[in-house]
Amino acid sequence: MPPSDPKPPAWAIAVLQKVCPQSLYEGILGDLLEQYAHNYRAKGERRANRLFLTNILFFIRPGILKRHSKLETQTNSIMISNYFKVAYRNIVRHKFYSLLNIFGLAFGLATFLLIYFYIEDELIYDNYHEKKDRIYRIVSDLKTPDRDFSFALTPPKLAERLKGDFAGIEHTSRFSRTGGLVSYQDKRFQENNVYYAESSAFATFSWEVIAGNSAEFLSLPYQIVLDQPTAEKYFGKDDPIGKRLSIAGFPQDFEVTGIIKPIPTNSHFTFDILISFETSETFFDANNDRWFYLDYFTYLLLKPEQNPQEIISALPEFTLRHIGETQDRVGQYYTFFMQPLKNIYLKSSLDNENGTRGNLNYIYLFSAVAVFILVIACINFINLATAQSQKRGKEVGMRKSVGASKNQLLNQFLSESLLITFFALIVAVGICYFLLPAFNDIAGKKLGLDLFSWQKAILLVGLVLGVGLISGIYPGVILARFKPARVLKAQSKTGTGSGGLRQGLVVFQLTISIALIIATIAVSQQLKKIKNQNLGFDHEQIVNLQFRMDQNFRSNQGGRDFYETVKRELAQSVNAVAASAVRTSPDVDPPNWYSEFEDSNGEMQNTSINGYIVDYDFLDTYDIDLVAGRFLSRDILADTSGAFILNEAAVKFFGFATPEEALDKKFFQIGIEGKIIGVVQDFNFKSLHQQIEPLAIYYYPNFFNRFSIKLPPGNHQAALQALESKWNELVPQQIFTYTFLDQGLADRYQAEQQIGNIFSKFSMLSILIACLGLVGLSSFIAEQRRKEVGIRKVLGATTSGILTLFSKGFVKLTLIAFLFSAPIAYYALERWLEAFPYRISLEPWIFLLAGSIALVATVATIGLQTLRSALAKPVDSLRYE
Amino acid sequence: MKGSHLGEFEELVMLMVALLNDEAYGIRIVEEIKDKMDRKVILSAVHVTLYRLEDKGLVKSAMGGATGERGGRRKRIFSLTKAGYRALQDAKDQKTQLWQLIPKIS
Repeated sequence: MPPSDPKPPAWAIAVLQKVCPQSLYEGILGDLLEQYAHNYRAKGERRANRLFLTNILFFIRPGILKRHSKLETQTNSIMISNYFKVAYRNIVRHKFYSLLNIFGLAFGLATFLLIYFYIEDELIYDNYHEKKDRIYRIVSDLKTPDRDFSFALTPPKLAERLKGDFAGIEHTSRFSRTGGLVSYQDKRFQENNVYYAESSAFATFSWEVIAGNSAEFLSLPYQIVLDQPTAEKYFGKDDPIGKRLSIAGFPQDFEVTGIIKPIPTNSHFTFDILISFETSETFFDANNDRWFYLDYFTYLLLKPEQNPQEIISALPEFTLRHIGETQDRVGQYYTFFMQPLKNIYLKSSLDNENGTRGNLNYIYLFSAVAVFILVIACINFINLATAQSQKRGKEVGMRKSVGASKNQLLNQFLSESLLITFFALIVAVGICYFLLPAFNDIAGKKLGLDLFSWQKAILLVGLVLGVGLISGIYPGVILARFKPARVLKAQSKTGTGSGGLRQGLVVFQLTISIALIIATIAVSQQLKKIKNQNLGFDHEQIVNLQFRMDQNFRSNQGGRDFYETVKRELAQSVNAVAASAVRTSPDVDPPNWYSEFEDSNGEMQNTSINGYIVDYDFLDTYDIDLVAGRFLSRDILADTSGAFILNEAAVKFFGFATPEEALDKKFFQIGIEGKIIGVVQDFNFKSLHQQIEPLAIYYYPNFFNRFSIKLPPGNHQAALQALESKWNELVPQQIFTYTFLDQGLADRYQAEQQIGNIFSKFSMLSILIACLGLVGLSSFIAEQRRKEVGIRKVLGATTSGILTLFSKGFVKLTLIAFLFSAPIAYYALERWLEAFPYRISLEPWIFLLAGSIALVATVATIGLQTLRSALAKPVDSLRYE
Repeated sequence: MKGSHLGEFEELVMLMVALLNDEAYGIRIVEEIKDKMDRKVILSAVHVTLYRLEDKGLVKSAMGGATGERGGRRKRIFSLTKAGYRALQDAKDQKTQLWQLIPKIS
């Protein structure tokens, strides 16, 4: 017989409880039980159980489940909107602290965003190429008996041989740098960003073609491809395709066969004009077997299935097979390397790179700075919030008494920090918008404030959540932990518990700030050192006029090449101190050429050193001293070929004991054999990143390409005008282009200049943010100790005494921070300076100055904040209760 | 308005609520429909419909007293609101009107 109280399976009821919203559960379960009892009596236990289960299963349906979540989110969203309402009221009530917090965070976020944009831009170089994962550049290491070189260039025939040997190479593509005076009808421009290129380039790289068929527009000699702005420069609105351009020095005109969009700035190399590679082969055989002639950038496009590692590991064997014998004969050995396209911009810095390169270390450095500044800003928030926790104690007590849970309180404080971070982000975007032009200027970038992509949206939301949670969680936890009885009973010292941590955080902030200030001072000192370094030659007042040594210049007039006449007339037109025709001035790196020399034992050795091609007046123009022997003389005919002058570094490098010993020894370079006739003092013909290298100086007019003219002191503008009109009179077929040597030299340190600039701005920002935090803290403390100040004043304390009292603690913290930051900065800067042969030593004053700046900043900040309370009449502060 | 239109099943459930008076709760309605209409309906369907009607304001509910049955669980008793009664009336009137429009064939 059935028992009086039939029971369905308990687990099924548990399922129902999970499924049903709390409010409906009782009514539903009641109905089910009633039905169950009925079925139990009518149909027996088993069928009743089964029906009960099916009925419960039918309750798992949207109509019930949705009701469940709807109600839950309703309560949740009510609470959340309440959190934000309360948070908003709190922010508005404490306007001063809220503004401090918002602006502190805003500056931090703005810095972070700017650096983020910068780094992002650095990292997306060459990303736009569709086949970027399959593109590699081949570069060469060359080992000579006494020195090793790393070139971005390769020998002419390498590409063809590689393609022949490795079936996995889809295309090879060579580029060779050139430039020239381009003209169309009456329009003439000097074009310097020009490359010879093969049509395979467009099968490899994803440059956008506007007109022309990229598969063949560089396949025949004398074809030319322009980017759109260049085309407009020559042809205006006309259709450029099929038009003919002439380039000075080429016997034939070029046919425009293609127009492309400008090469994106985030490319590791850019150009305005491409000339078909075939063109160069019509006048010198680019396919020749000169393996020690390096002039070609070689790119490979691998087939998708090709594993690059296979080719890389086969390269040594390949080299041996093709040029093993040649290498042995010359005594110089190649190692070829394959660089993935995506590594070129940041990780490659070889000789003769085809474009400026980024620096991975600076990326790391900037990322660190960005994070540090953001941390400083977060610390401000944490400090202010914990300091104020006393004030909020009563609120927490009340909330807990009426039933708020710890979690709810935490939620509430987090919503407050999220809201503040959100406001800060809005301000930060404004700051970014405002600072971006200046930042672009400093960083040499063209960044836009493009925040409307989903990646940026994720970044911004992530920033608000990350920064809000990081800075809100600690104060939130502290506050939520308060015991209501304690805080409501009396003014308990709840805030002091986190005092130690607060001080630690302040020390951390100041450590970072001081380290950044030290770095700023040291970097600017190093830059100054570079600027004022004695380069061994006179670089002031020198202007360089570029020209091309064409037939006209070489033509003989009255026993002299015409260029001499031009030089003399130009010099006379401005009363120049001196003038010299040269191939390279010291703002341009000279080429390194295969050379042979006679050592002190009279034996010929081969090597490779820099060559400087100049005329007779070189020493006078640059004011370089002769150490031994004599310089090139106009009056000695033999000096026109085979007379070499070395610098002191070369003398030492060749193993001679004295400069005199080197005289009359044999020397060989660029096919000229001759003797050493003199030795000049060392001068820095390359950047100060390098020691002075060995150098050979000689006369070879075919290679001249600029006049260095030393102007008399006075008005440059007038001198330039005089030079230009003289130039147009003498050489109308060439364009007057000038550069000042000083400017060229300064450009060599652009990267350092930028770093210095960026550093000084960011260190200023970091100290500003840290000071904002101190403003908050000190004014809060001053407020708290108001009564104490009043009593002290009544008892005879002076204003300055009270100021000292307040700042003493912070001064101590600053000093501790200084002790931390000095060694860190010292270590980091020593490593940075290692790269400079000409470097400052890190003297104590740099550190002391940075420390003092920080100290003055903190004391001034705190002083200004506490002055008010120090000056207040004691009667006001003592009467207030 | 869409909300004012009663579905067939809604109308049925409301009619049951009206005629059951104080006894209108989930399982009772299921049984009543079976008795009066000879139609088997699922308990959860009735519940969901009742809650939906409650959202629309056509019925209201209150927990009744506990009884010895149902394991001591209270019943959720439903009753028509004024709006519910009017909606039911409207539905009937509309249908009557339509019936009257049918041409009489005799």
